[in-house]
Amino acid sequence: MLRFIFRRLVFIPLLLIIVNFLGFAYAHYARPIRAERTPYSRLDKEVGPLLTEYQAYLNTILNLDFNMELATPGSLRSNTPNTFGEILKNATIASLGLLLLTLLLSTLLGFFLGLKAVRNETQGVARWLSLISTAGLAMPSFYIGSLLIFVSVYYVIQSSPGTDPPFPLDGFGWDKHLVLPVLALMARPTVQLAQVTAGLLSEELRKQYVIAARSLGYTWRSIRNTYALRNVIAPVIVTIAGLIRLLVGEQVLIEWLFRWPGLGRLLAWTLVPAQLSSTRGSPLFLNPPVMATVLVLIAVLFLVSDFIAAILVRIFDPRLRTTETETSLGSER
Amino acid sequence: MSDQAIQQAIIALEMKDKAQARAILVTFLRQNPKNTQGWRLLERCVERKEDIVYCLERVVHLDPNDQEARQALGRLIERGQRSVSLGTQFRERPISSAQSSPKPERNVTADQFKVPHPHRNWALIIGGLLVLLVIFLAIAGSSLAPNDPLEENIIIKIGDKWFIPPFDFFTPGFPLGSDNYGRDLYSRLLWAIRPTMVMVSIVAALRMVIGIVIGLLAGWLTQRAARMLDSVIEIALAIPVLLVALGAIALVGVELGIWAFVIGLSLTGWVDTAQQVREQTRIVKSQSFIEAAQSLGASSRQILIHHVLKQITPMIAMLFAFEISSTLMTTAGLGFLGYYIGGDVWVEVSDFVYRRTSGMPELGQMLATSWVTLTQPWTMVVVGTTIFIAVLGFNLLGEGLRLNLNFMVVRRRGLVTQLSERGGFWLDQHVWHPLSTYLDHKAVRVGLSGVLMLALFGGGIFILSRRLDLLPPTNRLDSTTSSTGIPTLIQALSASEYTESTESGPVTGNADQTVDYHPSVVWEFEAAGFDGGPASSPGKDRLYAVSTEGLLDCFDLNGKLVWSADLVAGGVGTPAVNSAGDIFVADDQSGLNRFTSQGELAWRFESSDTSHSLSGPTIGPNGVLYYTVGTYARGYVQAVSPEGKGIWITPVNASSFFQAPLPSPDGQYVFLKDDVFSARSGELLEIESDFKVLRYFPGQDTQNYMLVGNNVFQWQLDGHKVEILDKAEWDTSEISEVVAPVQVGVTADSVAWMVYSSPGGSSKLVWVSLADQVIGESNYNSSAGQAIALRPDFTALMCGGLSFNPEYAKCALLPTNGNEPLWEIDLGQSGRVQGGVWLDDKLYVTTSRGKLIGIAENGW
Repeated sequence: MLRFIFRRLVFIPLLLIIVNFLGFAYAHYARPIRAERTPYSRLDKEVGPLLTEYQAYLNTILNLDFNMELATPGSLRSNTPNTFGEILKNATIASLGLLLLTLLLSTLLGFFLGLKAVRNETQGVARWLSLISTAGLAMPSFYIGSLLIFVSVYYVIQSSPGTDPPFPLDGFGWDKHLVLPVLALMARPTVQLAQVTAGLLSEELRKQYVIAARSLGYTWRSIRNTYALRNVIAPVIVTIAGLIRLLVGEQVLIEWLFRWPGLGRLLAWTLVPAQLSSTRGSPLFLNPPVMATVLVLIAVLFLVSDFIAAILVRIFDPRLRTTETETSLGSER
Repeated sequence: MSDQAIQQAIIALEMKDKAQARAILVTFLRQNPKNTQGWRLLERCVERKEDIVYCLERVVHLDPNDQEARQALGRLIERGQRSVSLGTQFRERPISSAQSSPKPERNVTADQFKVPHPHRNWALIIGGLLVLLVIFLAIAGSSLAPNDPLEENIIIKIGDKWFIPPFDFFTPGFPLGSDNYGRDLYSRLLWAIRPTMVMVSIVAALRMVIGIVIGLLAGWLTQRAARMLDSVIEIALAIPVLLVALGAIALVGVELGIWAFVIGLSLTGWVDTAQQVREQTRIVKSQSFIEAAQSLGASSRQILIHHVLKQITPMIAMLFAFEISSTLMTTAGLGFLGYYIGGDVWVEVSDFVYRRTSGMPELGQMLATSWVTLTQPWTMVVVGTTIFIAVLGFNLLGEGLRLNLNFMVVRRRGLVTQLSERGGFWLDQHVWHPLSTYLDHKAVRVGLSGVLMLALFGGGIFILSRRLDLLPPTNRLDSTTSSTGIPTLIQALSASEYTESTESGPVTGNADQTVDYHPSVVWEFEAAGFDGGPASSPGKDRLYAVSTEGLLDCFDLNGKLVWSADLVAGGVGTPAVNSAGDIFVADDQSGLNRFTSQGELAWRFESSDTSHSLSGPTIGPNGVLYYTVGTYARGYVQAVSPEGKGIWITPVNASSFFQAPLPSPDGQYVFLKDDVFSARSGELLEIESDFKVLRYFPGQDTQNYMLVGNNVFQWQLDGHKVEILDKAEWDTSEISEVVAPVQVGVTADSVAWMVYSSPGGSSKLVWVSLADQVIGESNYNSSAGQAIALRPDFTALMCGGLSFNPEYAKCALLPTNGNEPLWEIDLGQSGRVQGGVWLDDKLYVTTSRGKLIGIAENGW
């Protein structure tokens, strides 16, 4: 176990450095290519060779010198100075908050739904879950978001003049602003988790020991909650870690839709070209430092969640621990 | 020869050398698959239950009267509790045993195979129907469309009412409404499905090929190579496809058309297929017939092609359906962010203002352009629903196919399944088997011709896609730009256009300093309604407001009515006050009145040609008055001398004429939107410009300016040609729609300012210096916001309404930078703010519901 943790901990920074460099190199080379092809887009300055630029970037990062001024799109601007560090900090906090809240809610709800959908007597998964999940998995998150907005607008139009929409339709805030983005983000992870939980659990309940336990007079409830659940918890944790990946992808869209000033929007700014009426496009478009840093932050999110999940899985499921030691022993031999 | 092999096998069996016997029999049976005895013997050589069952089935299939095998099979099945591959039995049983087998026997087996809950594969049926619908629409959609998907409608008339886009749904002729350019959404949708589906199918096919190859290798190879492929799959699985696609398309650019998407979406998109194929390959690999083949000396390639690939073929349809649905989903996301096929169709609406526009409609493109304001999510909902239905259809189809593949699930055998089974069997016998033997012999030749075919196919698609892309983007936008702006704003403008003149006021607390503000309403006066803002006297001690019931009221700054004068008709626009203190008021019967500062009518001029005044008057440097008259269809600029004589009247070219003409500071020109009149003769000047100018206007610094896109240029006239003297350019990427500023001006310090606003969202004020530097950018959470007064410290007083409700007014002092107003005051349901003046730390505004409100910044 310790060996495993140690190996992972060595591995993560290595991967991060690779991601950082690749992100930087990508933006570095892509920027002039794009600039050539877009009318009116112009490079602010001549760029040096990749390695010198990267070194300069690393210097600023390693010295924790985040005071580099960034020309930022308005929605990311705050009253505080628009330094790189400040923007990154704000964006990370905004994104993480949204992500964690969504993850928490969809985990709870998905798990609950999954438990409810497992049938005891005629083993299997209840029909309604597959209905919900088929529909849920076919809906892009931004579509759900636009539906929510549509409903709000309709509500405002129908009610007496002077009413505001029940929840703010865009913008940032740790209050009612969260409601619509979280709802739109929640749908897919929730049904996915519910589906996985229900599937695993109903599979588990088919096993012999359940029949034995039942014939010994245990209630379905206790069998399910004490024994079966314990056996499925490991794959469920892996699924939850997978949900984070799903969510980060979706978050780019949702933050774009609801103008949520987070990492996803920052990433979209670096990857989406000039919008409809713009002159030169976003100043962040394919900006190497921003691209590299945002990618690293996202990679950190992935790797850390993966790491935590891996440890949790090993805590909950002793079988994995043993295979791990066996293989490591085997490789030594 | 056959006897010889059988004999050898029997000998081997008697010597208990099962492996030897099995090897002999497998070779023998491959050549003589119809030898009953061979199968009977093989049954004794194999150990796994599935294999025994398979052999017995073969025997029963070849010789339906073999009771022994039949009973053995029955016993096995009974014991196995259907954990064996029931599907194979179903497949083999009915073909030949139908007539010849004795009746009672059949009943017994039928009972044994009795299924507990046969139910229809609803997922397959519904999914299949939806997919058929999508395919039908992709093929026939364009001919079903009632309208031209590219036809824009600037305005339509239904009954007596005029409508401007976006039209609501169920508007006659527009079953699903229209987008912002008045293009029929229903027709666009029907046209859009084909290109999207073509692209998605190509991507899905490519993903499948890559996925199957990688999956096969990962599942088949051993040790190090497999581990490497495994980690490739892991990594590809870890990164969201959307991000990879975004990065790839950002790099290669949408100019590549369909290929940008093919590259971007297949870069890591194959991973789901690869994963499933890998699992399947591993299962197949562990089975004994692979072992047999290996022991017979078959090479890996042979086994992969002959056995493994053949086991995977039934999955292909299912994988394809899932690939299509996931590709469609990612495509929708990309479209939403602004990447869509042929996304480089940028049309220059005017200089520096581009509109991404139609080529032919495509689902992603429709999503990209649908998101204009929060108040109109309808387009997005319609397009999103279409995508949802398509994705749902393909998901269900894939799910249904998966159920069909799953032999564990007992299902009713519908006509479709029977047919597909027979088809599969036929394909097996007549296509796959001969094909794989042929492939074995002529590997190189086949490989080369395959590459050639692929190249031809790809080239063909490439040319086709080029031809699709080459449809010239029609530039129909020149006339639409002004009218696509939000209509309600035009009215707001008429009142506020000239507010620059009120831009004098004491310098108060800077935005950086913390100043306590306690805004409060000091007094309020009610009239029938106001069409324009108030005006102040030169001495800054009197306010004049003209109400729509036809009264010119004069107030002192404490809200006391000093005098009141009657007009012939209701007042229009904001009154103008000259330096002598005389007041000029336009009335609704196209008249212009001059009052002395005591409230006596000096003269009234009536424009001869038309019946209405459309704006309040403005005063030129030499005292000449200008205002617009006309009807809602046609407008004229009327110039009147200070003595009350008409000087000239000229029809207006610009599309909107509800705002007061603006005389230039040097007294040479009069501007009305993008029209320039000679101040002396009234002639409409033809001005050559390199840019499409949205508006000409004078700056407070006595220079002439123009609004080009979102940028302000200083200019002078050199003959007929505009010469640009200076520019205030700034990064406008955040202004994401085709929205020109509703208000624009230049302060006395030569700083340009622009106000953007929308009825539902927020309002924005931007300050840009002529050195291209953005001095400030503040947002105010109000609809249809308009700047009332600008202060030299780059703070501004702005009034607006609540979201979606312009009847509700509020005013605020905006900081130079930021989203929080320095102070804000709520005026309740008093109607739209029509204008205001800023005098002595107090703000006086008029509203459309007839309120004149005095607001003190620090009064209590």
